[in-house]
Amino acid sequence: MTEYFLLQALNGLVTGLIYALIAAGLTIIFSVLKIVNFGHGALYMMGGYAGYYAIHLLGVPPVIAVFVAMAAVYVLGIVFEFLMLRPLYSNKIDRKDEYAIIVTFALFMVLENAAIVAFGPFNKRPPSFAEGAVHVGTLTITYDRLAAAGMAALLLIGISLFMQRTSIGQALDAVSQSRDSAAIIGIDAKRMYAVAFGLGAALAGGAGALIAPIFSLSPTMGDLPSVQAYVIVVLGGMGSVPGSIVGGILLGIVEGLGIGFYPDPNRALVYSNAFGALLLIITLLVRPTGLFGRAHLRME
Amino acid sequence: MKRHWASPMAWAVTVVVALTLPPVLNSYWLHVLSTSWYYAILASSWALLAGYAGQFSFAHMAFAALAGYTSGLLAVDLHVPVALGMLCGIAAAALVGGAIGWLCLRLRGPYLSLFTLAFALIFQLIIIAEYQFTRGSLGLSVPGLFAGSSDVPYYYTGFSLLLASLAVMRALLRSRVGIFLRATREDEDAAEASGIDTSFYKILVFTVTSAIAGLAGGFYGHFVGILTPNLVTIPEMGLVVAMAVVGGVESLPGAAIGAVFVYVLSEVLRDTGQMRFVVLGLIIMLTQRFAQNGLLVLTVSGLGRIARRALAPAAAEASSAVTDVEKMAG
Amino acid sequence: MLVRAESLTKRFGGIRAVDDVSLEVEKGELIGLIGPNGSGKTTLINLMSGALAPDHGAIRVDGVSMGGKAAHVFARHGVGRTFQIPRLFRRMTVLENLIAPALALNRTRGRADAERRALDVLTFLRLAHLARSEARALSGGQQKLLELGRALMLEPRVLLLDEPFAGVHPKLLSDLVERIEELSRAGYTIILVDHNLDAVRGLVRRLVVMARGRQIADGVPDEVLRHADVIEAYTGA
Repeated sequence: MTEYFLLQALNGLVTGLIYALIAAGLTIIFSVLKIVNFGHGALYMMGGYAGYYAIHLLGVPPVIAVFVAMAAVYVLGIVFEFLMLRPLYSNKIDRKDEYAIIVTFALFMVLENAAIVAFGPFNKRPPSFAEGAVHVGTLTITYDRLAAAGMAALLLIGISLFMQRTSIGQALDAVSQSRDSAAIIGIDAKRMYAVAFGLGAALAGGAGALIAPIFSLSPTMGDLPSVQAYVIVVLGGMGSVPGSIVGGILLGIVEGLGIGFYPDPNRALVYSNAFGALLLIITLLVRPTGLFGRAHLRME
Repeated sequence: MKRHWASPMAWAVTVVVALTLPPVLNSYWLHVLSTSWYYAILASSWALLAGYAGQFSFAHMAFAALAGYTSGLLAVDLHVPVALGMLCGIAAAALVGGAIGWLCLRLRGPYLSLFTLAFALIFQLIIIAEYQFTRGSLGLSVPGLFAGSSDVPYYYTGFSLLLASLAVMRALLRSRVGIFLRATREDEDAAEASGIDTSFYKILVFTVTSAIAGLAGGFYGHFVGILTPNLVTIPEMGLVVAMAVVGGVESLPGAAIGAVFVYVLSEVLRDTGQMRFVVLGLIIMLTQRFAQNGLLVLTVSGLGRIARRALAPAAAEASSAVTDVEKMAG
Repeated sequence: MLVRAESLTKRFGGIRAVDDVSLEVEKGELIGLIGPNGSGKTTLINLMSGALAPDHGAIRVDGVSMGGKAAHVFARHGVGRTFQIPRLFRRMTVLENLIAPALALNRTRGRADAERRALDVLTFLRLAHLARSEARALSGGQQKLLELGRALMLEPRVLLLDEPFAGVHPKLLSDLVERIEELSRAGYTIILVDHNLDAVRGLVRRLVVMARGRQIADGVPDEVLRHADVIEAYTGA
């Protein structure tokens, strides 16, 4: 019995790391651009498909395909930021919060439906990173899950180091604190906004490519993970990458264990989707600005 | 931010046109337009909540569905007359809407959106999960508002309900409530410092708009005859947002007209499948990017300029009426 | 005793922004509240206007205990305030900015009455010609005046002015000072927070000094400004 829960917890750890990756992207976008990206789930989905087509059309090996997917979604992010989010920095837009919500929501609409049209509504599964599984005692974990978890962990460590140690990372941090002050010390805020959005998108896209061999792809695969991402970011604090990592892992594990607990199997599956949403509601009620992060800052 | 509603002339023309359309339409388009009244009521009430009062709620469809299901279940399980059921539905929507408004009091901007999004998702999942009660994804068949299979009475009822909702909302906004809502939206702390009980008015606007959404939901249920969890999906909410945004999120009649326009467009494009949502999404983006106050306002001001040039020597009343409407763009 | 604040304390995290401050204000007084940056002046104003709830202490306005009540209750009870950076209803007209508080008070007989009173206030502020302009079109100094007008529409018992002179063009500055003097002569009770020592000391008859959340002096301007603690607060750490 405990083995069952241990297995659920381990699986939960894997999905948790993926969630953390998605959430880290979301939180970076929030931190620098001060907007909640309601299109994030679709970027995750696009990454999954990008990886799939990198393998099938370009013959790229699965592990490399993840990076190709990240690059592709990075470009997608930069393009969207340039076309649609630039007006946020000038004073042409009256209601900035509203604009950001609507426009990123529209991105979600466009990408998800374009995916249905372009890729078809049926699931696709890219080839595994590595066939087979590892057996520890009575537990079995597929290599796919191990690879996904491992790569996700590496990416998370990588992004944390990037944010703290590199000059671009520090520039992003500077802009997130004050656009004007950053400009004074010579940082091109506009470039940083583009980088931040592209980076956030790329992380989501990478997560999509990592999870595709495990859970397969569908155009609507981003719907529920985006809610999880919002939960994590609210829990871990908007703008806090470490918070996203901790929150993501926690949520994944708790969710995994939770599925095991609910008695009625039919309802359990449906309600497991509600779990994240419920957690989000409770967190927002108790702490309207999340557990750890800085309070919501208005666009300058 | 001037709240000029179009001149009485424009209203009269629109109403007359709408009232005389049914004989000219085939049954398919009659059905489409009747359905568009449902969306128009939703879009305009959402515009009031989100555009005017600044509460960017994604739970709007959930209130419509709540009322629809309440009314439907009362009719099916307890044989309550449809009209009474609709009233109960509205009451339920108002109550829950007010409760959500109360829960959201401390939430600002995107946090409120996230909260209401999560609520809508949970609501949808409850409908699906509790299928013994709600018939879940299979759908709940409910009796119609009128006997017979013609859509004509529904067309007129829907349109009347739309006019009634717009009238109620307009009256509300012209009263001091309108000023308080705008002040709260402009700067909540300053509004409090000016003696405005912002909490009360936020709950009030949630209650009123949820009730109106409930009216729409009840109408829709007893018109289309079947209720499914698809009423509450995120794409549906996105559709209503698109309608309000395209028409003009700070203009209630704009949102209503935007709703009709977008819904008709989505039906015209029905053969393209999901592509129409891509088109809609792009329209939203373009509208926000280049005409944040909505296409209706832009069109009207554009038409205003053309009209003035064409009618230069003529009717002073016409041009001043147009100027009034054009001020909406300002 | 119009306003009595007793042992007000407000903590943010580990910092005591306001530390055991007591203040008694008589009707008709014109008091200056000064202190270096971070001394807690704005927080004190926020506490006295209900924008923040104190961790400790009590506030009574005209005999009524105001503990823990919402800001709009304070406002309706006659506590008018302005903000450091004007927080107007930017996309509403100047007139609408003024009638909002009047309507909230609910003592007027309808909108027309509120508009009449608003025009009176605008005339007093020399802003009547801008009545139909959007608030965001006003200059900085005009916006400060408008905020003052908005507070006046509350028929206030006491006015809390948070840095009314900050960033105001010198020419408008003297206008602003004159308006405040006129209000004081008309009997309004005013507490004025500002950094501009020259403007403040010429205006007020009583000066309260804060530093690091505490009240370090309270008295006649000339004496207070010679007080050792005050000099140390401004020149010291």
